Amino acid sequence: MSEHPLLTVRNLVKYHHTPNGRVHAVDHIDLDLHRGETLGLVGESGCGKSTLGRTLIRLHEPDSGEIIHHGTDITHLSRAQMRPFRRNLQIVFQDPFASLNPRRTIRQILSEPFSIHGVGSRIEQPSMVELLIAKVGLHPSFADRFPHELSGGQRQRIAIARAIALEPSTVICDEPVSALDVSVQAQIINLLRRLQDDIGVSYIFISHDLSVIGYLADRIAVMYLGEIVEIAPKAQLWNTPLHPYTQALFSAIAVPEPPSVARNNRVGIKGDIPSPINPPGGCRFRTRCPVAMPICSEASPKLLEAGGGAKVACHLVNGTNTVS
Amino acid sequence: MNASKPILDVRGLRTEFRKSRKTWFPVVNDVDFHVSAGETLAIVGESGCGKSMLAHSLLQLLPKRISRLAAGDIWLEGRNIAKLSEEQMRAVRGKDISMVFQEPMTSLNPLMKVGQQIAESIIEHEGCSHDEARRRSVALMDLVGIPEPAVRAGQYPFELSGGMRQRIVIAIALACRPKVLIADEPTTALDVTIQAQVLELIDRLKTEIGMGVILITHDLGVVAEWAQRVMVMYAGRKVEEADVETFFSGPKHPYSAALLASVPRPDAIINGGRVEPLTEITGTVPPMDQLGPGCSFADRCERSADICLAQQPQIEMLSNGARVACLRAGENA
Repeated sequence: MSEHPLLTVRNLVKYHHTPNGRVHAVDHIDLDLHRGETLGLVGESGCGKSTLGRTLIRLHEPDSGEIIHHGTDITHLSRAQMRPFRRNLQIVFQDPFASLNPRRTIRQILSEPFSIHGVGSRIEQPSMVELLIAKVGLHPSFADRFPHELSGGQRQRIAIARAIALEPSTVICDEPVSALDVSVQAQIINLLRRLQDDIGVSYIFISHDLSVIGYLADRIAVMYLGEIVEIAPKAQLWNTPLHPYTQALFSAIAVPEPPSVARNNRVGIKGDIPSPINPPGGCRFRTRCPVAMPICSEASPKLLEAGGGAKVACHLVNGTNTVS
Repeated sequence: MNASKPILDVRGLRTEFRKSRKTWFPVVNDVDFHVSAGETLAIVGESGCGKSMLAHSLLQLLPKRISRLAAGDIWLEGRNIAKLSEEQMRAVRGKDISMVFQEPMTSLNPLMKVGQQIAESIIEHEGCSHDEARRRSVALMDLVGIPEPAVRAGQYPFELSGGMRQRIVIAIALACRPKVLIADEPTTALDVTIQAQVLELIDRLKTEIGMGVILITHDLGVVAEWAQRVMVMYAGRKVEEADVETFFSGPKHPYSAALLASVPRPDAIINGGRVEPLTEITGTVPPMDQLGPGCSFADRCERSADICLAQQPQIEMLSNGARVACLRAGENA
């Protein structure tokens, strides 16, 4: 891809320090995000996908590695230096009950981004807020309500409105629909897509729900215990998942189809995710992998090109595609 | 008997909550259904549609002060358990009908070793010795697929992962080989690979023990894969019931159809389809104490007519075998 990526991450590391040891939440991750695309980040709980999302916009301080935004290394900027970049790096959290201040009206909540970044005068701001509310599909009269007067779906719309207020280039969506009912989930997914068409924002969409990721994402990165094990364009990943973990994850999706037409070739995987404090040596998936080989416990596989735009970290796949 | 006789047969169940000192409103309204041995019946619907209220009503777990079983019968193998006293119900819960809740951390006692929590139920219902109960709880942990059950039995819930905890909850529920297992969103808090393991486990034990399973879920994919029949609820009522093959080939109630259409389907997109917007259901489930005389879905329904606001639809059987409560379902769909 010739175009300069919007966001580039090289060798990013973030460990959480706990009394029991270091949690390897984000362990040497490389990633590019392009303009206007949706990158899906999928994995089971504890795989580090939320930590990665938050570290990318420096809500967590990275331990090492670099984050390059629009050609600028933002890894070590101070809070004040970070501020102009925050306009372009926004986040929507999972729980709209926790992410909106209950003591403020919607108007106060949505005026904040404009005030902080000095956009619009006091006279202009009320109409900007109402425009923003309309943009996320709510009636402008919501401006003078409090979050507790809104349903979960409506609150999530407000959280999205706050994130897109300054037309950012990148929004991290951290499980934004996981707490919602399926019909409301559909509304929010449609809204996110419409906003992407309107303002050309790029999303990093974090979810454990493969159907949602598969619907929204252009490319999908699969995480396991702090590492990316496979990253590929959506269709490629969906039709020919290469990493055994991706295969297991995708075959575990339950599809709402009549039993007579539903595919059923489940690749079962045994057991639970090992502790991210003491991840297995070598390949981290080897303890649950149905096709683990002796080499998997000796060397940790590198994320290598595997054709079709896919990159995979697996000795089995990389061994058969030595020349690429 | 070719069509096996139902183990649990619920007729005209109506559960009400107190609104004021003298007025009550229904949260479960005129619901009929049955479950046979070795069968899984899925109950689906959005939050607030009454599916958990229904499950709690079956076991009379709702607070007596503010709720009542206003009408209906719950036949469990020829015995009407709707008429039992609290004391008699206590012998039924956990023995004849067991329940698995959504959140495995809150349904286990954090201060008690998991082995003891399983044994407690066995001792309570079967009055066997502590040694016998301990032996059986280890065997149960083995049955639900917990590695090194003898060691794990001596651990506390916080020492186990979410999937392991849910297995313990299932082991407790199965301790007395119940005739009916009610699983209320048993995998919603679990990861997708663990979800598959737990549902597979319930499915296998259902056949081994020969129990009927009521699976309450909002995940239609789970329904298609693990249930034999499905019942859709809306605002406390049953709106559609069908076998899964019929249902997923084309649900007939507008609510069921909209629910199914709002699930993202990546398969279609990946095989060259355009990314169409998902179907949205406008509005929200109405509060159950403010329902009008007509169909409670009418104001969100694309197909509603004047008659829908005035008249409560009754369940009718359609030509495809589905039972649907919609005045307009018979018209060409």
